[in-house]
Amino acid sequence: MASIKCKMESGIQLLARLSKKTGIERFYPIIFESGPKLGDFIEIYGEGSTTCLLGDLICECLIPNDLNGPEASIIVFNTDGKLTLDYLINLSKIKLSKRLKNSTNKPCHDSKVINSLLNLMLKNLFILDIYNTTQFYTSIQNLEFFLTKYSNVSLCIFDTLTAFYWDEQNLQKATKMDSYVKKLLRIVQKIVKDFKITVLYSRPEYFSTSKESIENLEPCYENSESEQINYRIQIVYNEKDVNLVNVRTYNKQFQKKFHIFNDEIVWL
Amino acid sequence: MNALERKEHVYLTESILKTLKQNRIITLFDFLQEEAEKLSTLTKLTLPQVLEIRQEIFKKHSAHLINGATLFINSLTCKKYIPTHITSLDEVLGGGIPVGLITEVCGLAGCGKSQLCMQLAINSVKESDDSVLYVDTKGDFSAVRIQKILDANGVSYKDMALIMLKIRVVHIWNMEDLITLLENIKNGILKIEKLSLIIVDSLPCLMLQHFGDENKIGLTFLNRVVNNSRYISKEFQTGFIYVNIQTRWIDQDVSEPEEIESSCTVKDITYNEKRNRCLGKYWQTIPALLLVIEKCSDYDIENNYENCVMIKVIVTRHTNPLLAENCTLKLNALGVT
Amino acid sequence: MSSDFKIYNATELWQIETSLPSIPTFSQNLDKILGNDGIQLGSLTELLGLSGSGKTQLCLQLCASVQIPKILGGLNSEALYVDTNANFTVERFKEILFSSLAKCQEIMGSSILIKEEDALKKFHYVKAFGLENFCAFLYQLPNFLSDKPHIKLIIIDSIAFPFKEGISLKQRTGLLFRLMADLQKIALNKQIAVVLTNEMTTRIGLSTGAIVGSLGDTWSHRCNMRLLLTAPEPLKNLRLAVILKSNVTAERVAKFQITSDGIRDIQ
Repeated sequence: MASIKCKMESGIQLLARLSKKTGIERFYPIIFESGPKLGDFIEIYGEGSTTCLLGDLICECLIPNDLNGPEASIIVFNTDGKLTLDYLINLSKIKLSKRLKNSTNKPCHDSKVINSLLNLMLKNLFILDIYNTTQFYTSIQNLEFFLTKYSNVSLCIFDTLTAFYWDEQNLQKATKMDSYVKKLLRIVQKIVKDFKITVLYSRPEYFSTSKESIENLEPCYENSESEQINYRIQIVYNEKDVNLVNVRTYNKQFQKKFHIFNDEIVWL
Repeated sequence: MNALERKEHVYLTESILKTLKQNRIITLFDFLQEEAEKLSTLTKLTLPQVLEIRQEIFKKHSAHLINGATLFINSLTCKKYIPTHITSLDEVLGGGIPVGLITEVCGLAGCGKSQLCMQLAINSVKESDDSVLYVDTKGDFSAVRIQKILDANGVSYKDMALIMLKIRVVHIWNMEDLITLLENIKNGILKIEKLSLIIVDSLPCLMLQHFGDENKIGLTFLNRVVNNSRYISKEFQTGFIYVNIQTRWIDQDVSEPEEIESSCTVKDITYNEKRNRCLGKYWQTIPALLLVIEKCSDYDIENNYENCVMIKVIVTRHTNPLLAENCTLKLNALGVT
Repeated sequence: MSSDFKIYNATELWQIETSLPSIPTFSQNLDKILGNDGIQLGSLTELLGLSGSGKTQLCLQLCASVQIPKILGGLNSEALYVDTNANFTVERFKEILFSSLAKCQEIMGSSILIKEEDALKKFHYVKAFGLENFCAFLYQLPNFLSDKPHIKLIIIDSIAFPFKEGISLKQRTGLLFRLMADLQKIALNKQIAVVLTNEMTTRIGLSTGAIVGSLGDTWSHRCNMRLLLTAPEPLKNLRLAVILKSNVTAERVAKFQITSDGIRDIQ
């Protein structure tokens, strides 16, 4: 038995090692600078919705090589349901026509070109619609199979990680919110560690046991070991129209301002 | 989380389940997480048999990975909106009440939430074969009002009957029943033909029953309601409206008088009325679309002969929470227009 | 799994709603703004007003009205009065009851005689002072009603009083909404009219005026019909009733007066 186990695991490792994966490094330098590295964990949280940034990240990540994008593959655990395909398609189209315009120096109105590029992008996007706790955990366990089957996936997104928290609580005992996030991250970490992928998840800002803000609680780490976060990104919507992201890494902390124009994030 | 049960696979006999339980393998997740070799040793099943059970569990319970391109093709033939047929509202909503997402209608008592919802119920079935389900949690639905609106709009008795047959109403008095109702729809036990819109008026009436509970069972129920609503709206291609309420609280602000005015040092105490959506933090992030309703200028109690109230609808989307668009609607004998 | 949810269509509900009779207030003005010739069976009505605005008077009138004989288009039914604030006096009720019945007798002539002692038996008075007594009574209300199937009107005067002390704000809201859900379920199933009275309270700084119903903003969503009673001229009998919330009628105002006989129109 032991020998079979040994073979099985090394098989996955071998596969992971051999597979040529499209890196997503430098794909969104405003936030990640030279990162994120495969194996990194990224957290996005905010009082309001995190969809605008998530959507922007996903679309940028899918941009084809021809247009200087990473053309990476993504798996999305859709537990929140608000990040819709229509939204992503609309955003992708905007981004594509902008890139085409920049690369050819004239506006591109050819919908055929855009649609074929869009199709290329969507082929690299895989979505899991999840509606209950059992499905959630089973699908996480099944991630190993998905990642083996689609070996070029380099980003795995959980939107949101905490969607089934209340469903899981029972009258006898309640798990603390922070421990709940840690527990889930440990499970995910255990599964993805043999695959070279980046994990990105969102959580609502209130989802924290302590009254302290999330960033004061746990530091970020350079190298992700279990449940250690490499990037923490907070989204702050401001009434006065200049929205912010606060980015924290293990050695840095900075702020970027943005507007939202036609669903697209415009960095200032 | 589902427990590991006999029905999952024929290999899982009572004695095997008992052994697993003794080793703290109780839920499906416990089983999936455990190393196959250990399970094999414990259960005396062969490794391929254990793997077979695993595969069966995945097949039954895991979500399916669907490719974006496939989803795109499927979505081309799907409807995206349930038009409200109120021109100015459809314009602000960009087409109508979104399909596959949760919409919240929110406002103070008596601001016209139920009136708008009844109008949406009428309008969504008026010019189609679709039907609407109105989940009434406080006896607010009035068929007499529906009939009066239709009558005032000159609808013939025959058409009136046809429209009213397509408006389905159910009374629900607690969260448990709401969950059961949604599960019945989800599992096909309760079939409503051509269901295009579900309106729950109102959610706080059920949730507030759990206010002040020692435990958080209300939130557990709410999570299940949300899960089932998401499933139904997506898989059955329906709009889903939840009515929420607002409460007010007063903030005392001491405002500095403008410097230009004079040099006097009197400080004005102004009261700031703040409004708050009910149902707590968990719920706040759930709706994709928020419609806040305000009654315009307060009516004059003794001289309101017109019997017409103007209501303002402020629409915000979760994708850009600060961008608010609004429209003003008229509420009178003809309904909401 | 229970799947016995009764799904109505609007036509069926329309038939039910239009066939349900109402309890007249003895003021045609008031009946008119209520939209159904009075307080309709199956409905949940909240009466708001400062003390002396006539809430209890109107309740007593309804308890008398529910007895109007069938021959006059009445319900010939019984009323349950849940007293939580000791505003009830039996003398005053007798006064209103007997003069209302006298009026009926006048119209019917001497063909049918109404006995005063029989009339008093159709009035069920329950004293429920304090939160515990109040909840205990409502808890066994279904049993109470199956023993007395002729009850078609339940008055709770007042709903706010038992919650004045001994309970946190949050628990108050939870309890109130649970009680109301149970009460409304009974009201709809057994076709009983429920009337609650509520006091007024002062909240400074609200855009809609400083004096609002007690029990807070969440509560104000609970009842389908909210009627505000005011006494615009102190010491006079004139009263105004304003519909604050209704699904059936648009907001309107009615004038009525409180006489020694009960609620009447202004002549």
